[in-house]
Amino acid sequence: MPAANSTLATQQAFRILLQALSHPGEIYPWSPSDPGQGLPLMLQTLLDHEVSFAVIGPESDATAALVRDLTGSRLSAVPAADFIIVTRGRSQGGILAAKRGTLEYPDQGATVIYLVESLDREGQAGLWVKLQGPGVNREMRAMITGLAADEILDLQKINQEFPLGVDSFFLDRAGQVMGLPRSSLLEVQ
Amino acid sequence: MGYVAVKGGEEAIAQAGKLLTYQRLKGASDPLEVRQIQEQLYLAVDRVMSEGSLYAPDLAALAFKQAAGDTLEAAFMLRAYRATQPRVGYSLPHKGEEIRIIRRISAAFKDIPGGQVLGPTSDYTLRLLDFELLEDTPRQRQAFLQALGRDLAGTRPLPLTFPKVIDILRKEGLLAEALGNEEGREKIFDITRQSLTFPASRSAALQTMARSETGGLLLLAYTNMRGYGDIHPTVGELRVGYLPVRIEHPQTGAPYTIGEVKVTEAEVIARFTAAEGSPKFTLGYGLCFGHNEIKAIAMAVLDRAMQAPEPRMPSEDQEFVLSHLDGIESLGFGSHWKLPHYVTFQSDLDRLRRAQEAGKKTKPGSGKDNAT
Amino acid sequence: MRLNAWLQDHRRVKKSRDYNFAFINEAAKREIRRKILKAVAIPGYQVPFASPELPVARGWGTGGLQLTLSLIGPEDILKVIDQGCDGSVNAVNIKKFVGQVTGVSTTTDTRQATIIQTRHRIPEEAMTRDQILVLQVPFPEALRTVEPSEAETRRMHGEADYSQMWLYLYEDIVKYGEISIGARYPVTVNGRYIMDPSPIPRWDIPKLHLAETLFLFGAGREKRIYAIPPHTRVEPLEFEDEKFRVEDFPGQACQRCGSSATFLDEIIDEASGARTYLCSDTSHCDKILAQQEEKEVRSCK
Repeated sequence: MPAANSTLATQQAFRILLQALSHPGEIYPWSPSDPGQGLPLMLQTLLDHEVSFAVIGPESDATAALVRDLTGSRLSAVPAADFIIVTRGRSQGGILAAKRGTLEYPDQGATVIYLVESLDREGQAGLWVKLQGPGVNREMRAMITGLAADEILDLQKINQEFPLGVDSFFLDRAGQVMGLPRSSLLEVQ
Repeated sequence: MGYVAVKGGEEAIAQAGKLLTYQRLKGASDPLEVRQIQEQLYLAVDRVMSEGSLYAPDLAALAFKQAAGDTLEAAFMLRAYRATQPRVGYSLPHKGEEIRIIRRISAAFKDIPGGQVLGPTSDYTLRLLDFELLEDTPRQRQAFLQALGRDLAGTRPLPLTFPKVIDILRKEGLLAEALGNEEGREKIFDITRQSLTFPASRSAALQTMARSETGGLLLLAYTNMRGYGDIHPTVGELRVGYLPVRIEHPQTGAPYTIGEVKVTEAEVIARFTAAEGSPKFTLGYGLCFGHNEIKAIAMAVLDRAMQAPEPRMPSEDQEFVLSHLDGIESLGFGSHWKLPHYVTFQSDLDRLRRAQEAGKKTKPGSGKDNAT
Repeated sequence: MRLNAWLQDHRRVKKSRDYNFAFINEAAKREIRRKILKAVAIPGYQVPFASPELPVARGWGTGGLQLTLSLIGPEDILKVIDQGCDGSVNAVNIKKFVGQVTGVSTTTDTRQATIIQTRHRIPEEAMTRDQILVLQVPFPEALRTVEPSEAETRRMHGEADYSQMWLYLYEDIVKYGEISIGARYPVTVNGRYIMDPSPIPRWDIPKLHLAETLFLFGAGREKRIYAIPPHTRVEPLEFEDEKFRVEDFPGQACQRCGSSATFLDEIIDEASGARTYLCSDTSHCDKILAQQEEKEVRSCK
């Protein structure tokens, strides 16, 4: 049983994740006091020994060790993983192997956590993504720095046969988070 | 003002709770000790543990007391308590052979290896009211126990384990291997962790029945025995006894016994099937916490019935059987109709009035009311 | 090693007879939370979940409670209603239980609440994007009326094969002159899933459409969670020439606040046998009444 403070920390974290997934494209501050705690907190909120995970990208061994130690979750191959962590915003097509669920049980599709440089409302350096669909009032735009443009194209492919697909969270270095459910229509601008 | 009276609020709830407690206290008798319930109403305690899905005789007795003898309510309390407890590990799988027997019988053979052990059973008692129990005096008890002690002198203790009756059939190749054994330990479904989906695996089906309400389970099994189904079971073996509980030792990883639980196990043999190869008997399996023979038998019958390749009867339809067996669920839903439903009723009223108006317009003079 | 940690912890807990914050243990909460996120990502789709038992009976709001207890934190302000009423015994009971295991403050004011748990109604006042409405669900499957088997309704949802449902509605019109469904009127969510909105009156159905608020639905006994995110299309099933219609109360108004634009409860007067009407949303009724009194006071000055 976790200590009381972790009970409350994961409760707050969950509410932010819920807001983020309910409002795709909105950027939510996550852990401003210590941005480095973003990933650990997210992992503790969502993962445990009942689910499996995979890591794609550089430093995948260190990340996998972190996930295991923090959550007791089981490491598995990408096609079997419930959670997939992409460490540097680039899976080089690896994400295409992710579980998309079945027509009877589309909820078995994976959840992908992208670690990226930054999430912004303005600027030019990054990748502008336009979103439409449930949770979005007409349309939303967000700029993601440190995400390969191919990832968005791959997510489009994975999510083109709704309700099959994966749901994603983007977590940046400043500890901000953005949600992207499979129901969102995406466009790279 | 009719329904608005339901807005009684906090005060009414508090007073109703007091009245409930008063019902238990208003008699002049001594308070019932939880230990008395545990020792003297042990079958009720067993039933509560089994349906509450938690092996805790003291807590089950407490729940039985608190529920004033309502086993459904008591099982519900125990189940709710169970849900607050974290899962810290999984016990290791066992064979029924390891049950430390207090009773085992077989209806399939006159004599069985190890012998029939009748044990504590009411099967052959006459169900005549025993008026002596009205005066259950310590002196009478003492006299009975002394006589029993004298009888025991010179008797042999039971062996620790007994061979399985159905192994005789298995060795001769007369028994089909049970379905679901291929699932393996890793694949064992956990109905407390996952919602049941259909078709359900055999492990999920057995777990669901093990915590089911005894009466409901018996009812469905009885429909099959009576004729809505045709498995014609024979009790291969019925065992009551204590099953060791083992876990992997957290430091060494070696099997480590942490206690034992009282269980009832039933294996029913049913008519042979000739699906592939030579015809064989098939097995239905039942196991539940505590001493509850009818539950274990009903479970075994339904386990076998649900193996029907083409379900034709209710008791063979896995979804039908497994969706309706849980006492805590059916109790809750059956009693939720007591809650106010005046908003939905208002909505229905609106529809009914409208439909009646429409009926009058289209069928003048017609006295029929389609909507009721 | 995990076992050792537990043993130490367990001794402590046993002694104090304490329950976890928000009652449900953290592992079970985590499972519910994972399922809530999937529900939001697939609007209108019923996600199966383990649904641990609570000390409240199945069918008495356990699904809603499991959602509320997995959402709630110390900062939240909770409102609970049953049939639109904050003072109904069931609502009071649930509010008391959540209060006991979390210590959160409660309110009857729809605007003040951060989480509202409800049975059979959506509040009359529009809710905001910062609020969450948790609906208690007895029958999560809208197709159950036409198909009893869960395996089969799953297939129908998977293939978006809703012909049986449409046929049922058509036959209903032939029989009764219009669709006879009262409460629990089926809707299509995001143009994909047919969904049971819980037994809210038809009056409340339009409030689900392109709303600002997140709606979470919990069916504890049937072990299903589903959701409607904000800004999501929610359309009642209707034919082009047989439109969906909410309940009407022709010429009636609330006896108390005079409102004619709210869902009304029909009350039979004991003495006269006459029918009168009162707002079903009691806190909204109180608010209107208070506003009127304030106006009167002002106009007197």
